[in-house]
Amino acid sequence: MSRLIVCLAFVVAFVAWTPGAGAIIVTQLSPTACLAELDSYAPSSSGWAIQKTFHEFLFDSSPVILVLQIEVEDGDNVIAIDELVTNDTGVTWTDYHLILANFDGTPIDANAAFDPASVSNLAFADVAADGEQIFLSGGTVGPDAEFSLEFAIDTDGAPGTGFLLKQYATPEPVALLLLAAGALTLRRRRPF
Amino acid sequence: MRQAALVAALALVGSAPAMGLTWQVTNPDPSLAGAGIVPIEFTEQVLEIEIHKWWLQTATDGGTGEVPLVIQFTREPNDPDVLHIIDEIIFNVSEEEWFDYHVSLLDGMGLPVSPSDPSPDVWFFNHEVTDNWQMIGGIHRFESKTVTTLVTDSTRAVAFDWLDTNGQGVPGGDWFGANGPPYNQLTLTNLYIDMSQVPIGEVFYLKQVPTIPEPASVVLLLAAVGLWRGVRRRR
Repeated sequence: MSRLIVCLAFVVAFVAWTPGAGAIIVTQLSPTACLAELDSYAPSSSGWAIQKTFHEFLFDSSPVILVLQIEVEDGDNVIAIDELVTNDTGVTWTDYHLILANFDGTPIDANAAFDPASVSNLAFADVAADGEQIFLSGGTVGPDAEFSLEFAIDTDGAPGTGFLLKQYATPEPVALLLLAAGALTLRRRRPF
Repeated sequence: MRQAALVAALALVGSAPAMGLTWQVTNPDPSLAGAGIVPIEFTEQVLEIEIHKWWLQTATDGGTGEVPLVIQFTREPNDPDVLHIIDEIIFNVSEEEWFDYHVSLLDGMGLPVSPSDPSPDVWFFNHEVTDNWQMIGGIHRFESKTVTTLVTDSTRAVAFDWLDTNGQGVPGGDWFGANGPPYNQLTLTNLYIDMSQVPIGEVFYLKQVPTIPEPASVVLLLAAVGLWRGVRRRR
């Protein structure tokens, strides 16, 4: 009986996973996990659930850009993504950017594009979106806070299609100054 | 099939505007290597971009000729004085492992900016923070970094030469999978270019090339690495 229940659970899970999700492989290309990391990605009832955490900003104020390679293994015309983003950087974010790019770095139009109408979140009031990028502003994400973000990528569904999804946040200017001051102090204390 | 589709897509790559600045790959043929630019931030002070590059071949067909990748930048009205390449993500999709990597600036004539030129049109600055990685903040691909600066001003650089001294290198690989990025990936960070002296409408070039050492050079390189390690152990 218990074996039957386990088998049924597998069947239900498989049926729940297959529709609308296709199959994608997500790989983190940059940076190393101590700066920002892809925590997990898994199929969900609405598409794909992705969790990520940003740990640090660079001392010179350059944004830490999390670059994910997404490979479409099984054709699907819409990749719906529900993200949970955690701010572990210790400073407040004032905006959030998402960019789609081809491997060649050019804006993507041919085989994948954001669906601007699909973007929703509760942290930022202002949303500017087109096929190539999503820019969220008019809100903040404080230290240790997280926010959820939903969006969809329309693709041509061709198996073997690959593209890059880039994301980064911008710290508020005051936090940036403190960060720079802290970095200077650290450098002065170093014996070399 | 997948490779063929990608190569076909890459063949379409030409020039594209990166905010104000415009860019174009002038060398080599797309069947050998290519590049593209993603604009990140554009302010009155700085233009921040990312660059993606890939090499399908490290050497020209049937020979040991290098495959340098050259990007031409044209300065447009309202462009700031500083071009900050936040990072370059570079894929080695060739069959050769890379043991060194070279970056240099070329002037409007396409000639290397001379270190003896006291007032070039374009140069690197903040060169002490320019670095290389497999993934940013992780392990370095190349341990040895040589910066060529102006004879008259050591804060201005015209070239970087990175050399593998511990056998890491950048292996050749695929676009996807276990042998795909980040396995075969090189990342450069923080290339700061001062283009304040480039007139509006004029151009400068960014050249990058991995090289294949000749067999004799490999022997010399290994000997040098052995010697270097020996000296370090004695210390």
